Amino acid sequence: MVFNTGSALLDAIVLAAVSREAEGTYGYKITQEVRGAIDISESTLYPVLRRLQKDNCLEVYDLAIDGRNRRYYKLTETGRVQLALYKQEWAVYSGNISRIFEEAKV
Amino acid sequence: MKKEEFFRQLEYLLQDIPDPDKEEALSYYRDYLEEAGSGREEDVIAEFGSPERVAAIIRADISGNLEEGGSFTENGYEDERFRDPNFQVAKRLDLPDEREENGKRAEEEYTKASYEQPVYEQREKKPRTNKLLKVILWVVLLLAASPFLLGAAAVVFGTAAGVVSILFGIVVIILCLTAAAFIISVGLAGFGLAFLVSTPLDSIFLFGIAAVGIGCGLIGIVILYLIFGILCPLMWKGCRKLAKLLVGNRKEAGRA
Repeated sequence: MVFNTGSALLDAIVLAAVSREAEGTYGYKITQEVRGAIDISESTLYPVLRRLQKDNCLEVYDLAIDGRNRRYYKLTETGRVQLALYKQEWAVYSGNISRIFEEAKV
Repeated sequence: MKKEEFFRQLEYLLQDIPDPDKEEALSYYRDYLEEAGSGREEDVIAEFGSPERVAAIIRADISGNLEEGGSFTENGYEDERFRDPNFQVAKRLDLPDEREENGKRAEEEYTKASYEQPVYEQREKKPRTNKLLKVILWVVLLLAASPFLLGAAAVVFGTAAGVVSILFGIVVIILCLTAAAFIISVGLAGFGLAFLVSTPLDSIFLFGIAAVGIGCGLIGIVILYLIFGILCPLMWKGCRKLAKLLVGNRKEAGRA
């Protein structure tokens, strides 16, 4: 990847990954899904998830699995609105970029 | 690095942050490893990077420093503050297992470190000195100490001048006394000769006193000889020795 982008895109991708599961999903799975789209380290998402949680975009709950607690992350209403905004912005942004590349003469 | 060791170090590094935050962060990374399964455990720990790096990530989040940070680069998403080799303030060469498990990157780091080591040692051996700086420092020191130095110099000079004057005075007095003794003795001998015929006893008495005076004068000459012939050369030698000592010391200091 040669393009550098701000952390907002990472927020958007994480929200999108979490939104796939209506009942919420957990850290490891979110990381693997995000890794399907972009190259991130296994340790990167913890502060991102915390920030999204603090911004009320995600909510957490613990569920006992195999005798231990697994922390689930779930999209809140704010998160859903935020994700919709991100999707819309990305459509415009990527559309503009794609168009200028398509019109470029190589 | 083994899982237990990793978390032991991570917990140690986070011991000063509030317990709830610490527990939450630790359980996130513990759970993450559990979900990854025992098969991937080694890989995931290797990719976590050092405990220091993970601790920095957790810390940045707690202090709210993460709002604007990190970006997508050629190497994927990363935050410059958490880039592993750069983040560590001091290279942990005392953690060999971390090097091994981090694979190639750590190996590079290691060779780089071992390459840098001799350069560092060389720099260490060279004394940190600068002639110009030394001179400036000396000037500053002398200026700062000048009131005291002037006072001390005045005391030393005054004392030396006093001693020299006293010595000079004594020499002059001895010289005068010696001269007087000879003159008076000669005068008395003259009187003695004049009255030798009329009052021979008186003149013999005068001769005797003249002889005593000549004796005193001879003693004065001997004392003067001692002063000029022995004490003065000795003092001169002493002064030269002292001067040599001072100059020699400075030369040696300059050489060092």
